Amino acid sequence: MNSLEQAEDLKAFERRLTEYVSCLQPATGRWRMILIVVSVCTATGAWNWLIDPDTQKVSFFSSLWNHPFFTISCVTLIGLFFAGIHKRVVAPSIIAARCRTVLAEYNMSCDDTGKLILKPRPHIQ
Amino acid sequence: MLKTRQCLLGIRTFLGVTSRIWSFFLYILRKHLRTIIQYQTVRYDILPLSPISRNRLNAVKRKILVLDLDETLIHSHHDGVLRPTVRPGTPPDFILKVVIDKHPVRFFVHKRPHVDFFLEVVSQWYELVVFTASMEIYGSAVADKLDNNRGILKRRYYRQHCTLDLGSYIKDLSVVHSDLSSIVILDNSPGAYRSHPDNAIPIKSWFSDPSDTALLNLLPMLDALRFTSDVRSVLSRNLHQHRLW
Repeated sequence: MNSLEQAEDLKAFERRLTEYVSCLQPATGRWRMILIVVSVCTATGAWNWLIDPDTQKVSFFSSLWNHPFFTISCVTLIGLFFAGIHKRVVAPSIIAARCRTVLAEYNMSCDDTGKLILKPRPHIQ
Repeated sequence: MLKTRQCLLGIRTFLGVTSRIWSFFLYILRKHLRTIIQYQTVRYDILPLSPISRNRLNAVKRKILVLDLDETLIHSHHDGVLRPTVRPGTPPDFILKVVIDKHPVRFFVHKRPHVDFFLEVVSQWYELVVFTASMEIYGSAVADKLDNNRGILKRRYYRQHCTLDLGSYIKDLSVVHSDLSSIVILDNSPGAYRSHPDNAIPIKSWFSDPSDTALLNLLPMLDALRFTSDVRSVLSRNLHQHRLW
């Protein structure tokens, strides 16, 4: 195995890592949009629910019944968190972090875009 | 007086019922915890290849991935063990009944988190081979269960294919494939790949942690490794921090 071949292999290896991380970006962007939209809906719903004078008079459940917009967006938000949206919005960095844990074994690392960082071999004491 | 006693009795009944409901709730939670955790974690979706990568993949050989079973893909204990390593109350994924030396033994097998997903994904990238230091009768039963009729774990090697050296089993990769440039071994014990350190991917031994993601962590690396012409270009950079010998 000559060093040229090895460099070629490392390049192909890195190409796939960067390619994968960049392929993840559109889906991550969509998840971020969904999270923002649902959060804003919940916040406005909560505001309307709180400033409604009837909320304090009637029971908790009937006040929720009176504000279906808030109830639905709140349930959706909770559902999204159960489905792990808080991890999906940072998926590329999770994948990069996983790469780093494995690459550390091989005296390498990578940045958040998947670019390889080769470290010099430590001297044996 | 009577009223106080009734009140106390009421409270006691209430507490009893509440604690029962609570323990039932905990039992259900424990049972489903793994599913919830697995569902939440970001997995590794198969994403399309760029044209350059596709050309590269066609130019290099398809690689072989050699997998260990115990403490890498599964963990098992049999009914004779006094102190099981898993938390009591954790239900096993499957139970195997095997006859060893004319004695029937029951093995309680726990799958490592994400193992089914892992096998499904890597089987599309590599030719999978099971190489275990355990006995054939047990190893083949476990491999059958993991394969689950998908036909991905057809090639299997057992204890009789290992070389015994100083009381430990060494897995000789040349038994599986003569070309060492396209074979990778995934094993939790460094002793097993002692004769081929430049073809090894180490992994932490797994016993019971339901939040373990070691198999998922490996996927980006395994995905990228199939584009190399010689796996040792990457794997020989191994620092062997897990070296035991």
